[in-house]
Amino acid sequence: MRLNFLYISSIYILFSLLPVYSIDSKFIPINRDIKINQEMIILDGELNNKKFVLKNIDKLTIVNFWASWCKPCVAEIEELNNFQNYIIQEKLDVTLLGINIFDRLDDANKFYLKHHPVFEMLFDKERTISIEFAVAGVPETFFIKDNKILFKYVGKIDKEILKEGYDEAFK
Amino acid sequence: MKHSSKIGLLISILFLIIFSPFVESKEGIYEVSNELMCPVCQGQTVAESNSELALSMREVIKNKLNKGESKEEILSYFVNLYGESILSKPPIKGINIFLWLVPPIILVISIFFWVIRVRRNKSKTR
Repeated sequence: MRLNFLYISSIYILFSLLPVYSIDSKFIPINRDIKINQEMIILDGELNNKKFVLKNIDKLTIVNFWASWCKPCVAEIEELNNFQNYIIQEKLDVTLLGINIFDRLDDANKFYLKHHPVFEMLFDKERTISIEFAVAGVPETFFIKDNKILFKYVGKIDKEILKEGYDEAFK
Repeated sequence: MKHSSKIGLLISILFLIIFSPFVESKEGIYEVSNELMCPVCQGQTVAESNSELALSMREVIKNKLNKGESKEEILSYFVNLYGESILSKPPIKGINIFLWLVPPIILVISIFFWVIRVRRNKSKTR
């Protein structure tokens, strides 16, 4: 009787711990094809209205969605800059893009001037790109390759997580 | 017909031709957005919410309606992105049948027990 109780309890504990240990990844898998052809404004601090068309994402591209009013977005900009410098230094085959959403162009531009990102920053004037990616909030970072969203990271990201994501994308 | 009333009629027709698509589109946006739950709000549909995400979703709905896409096509586009939980009225299929059937079943059972109890009480008092 006592043995049976111990046996059932150990099986119960084992199964309860299983989901905890199965979450070994920081990234949320998506694996969804994406077809985009969207014109966006390049943020350059001068409001020159230079355009950038985001389409055919064949090469690994890391897209970080942000807004000027979002505190974690301010906190992660240094890390994104560090990762961009690492891309150049290590000659990695990846593009890092920042897309401003849920915001005003003026505020996005002020953010640019204040924080000096060293990677391409875009403003979504159509206000629809967030839906194509099914963004639920900011900041969120998506890893896209061969026109497919592989996975995303939710929340403030840092250089180490970006490196992990880069490695994960080539697995 | 007087000349002035002819002009009035012409202006009214022109007004309808120019503005009817906007009215139709606005109603269409409401109809579709009211069937979608705002993913970042609590218990609000996309039509009711003023969050940035809901505004973007309404913009997408407007663009798709202008392109001539049907309500079903637009809803299935959002289901594909966010899953079936995005729908304010879950479809009556699979496990969702359970959600639709449980409230009326509970109601019928409650009425049944209530009737039994009332009858018992009546027979006791007699």
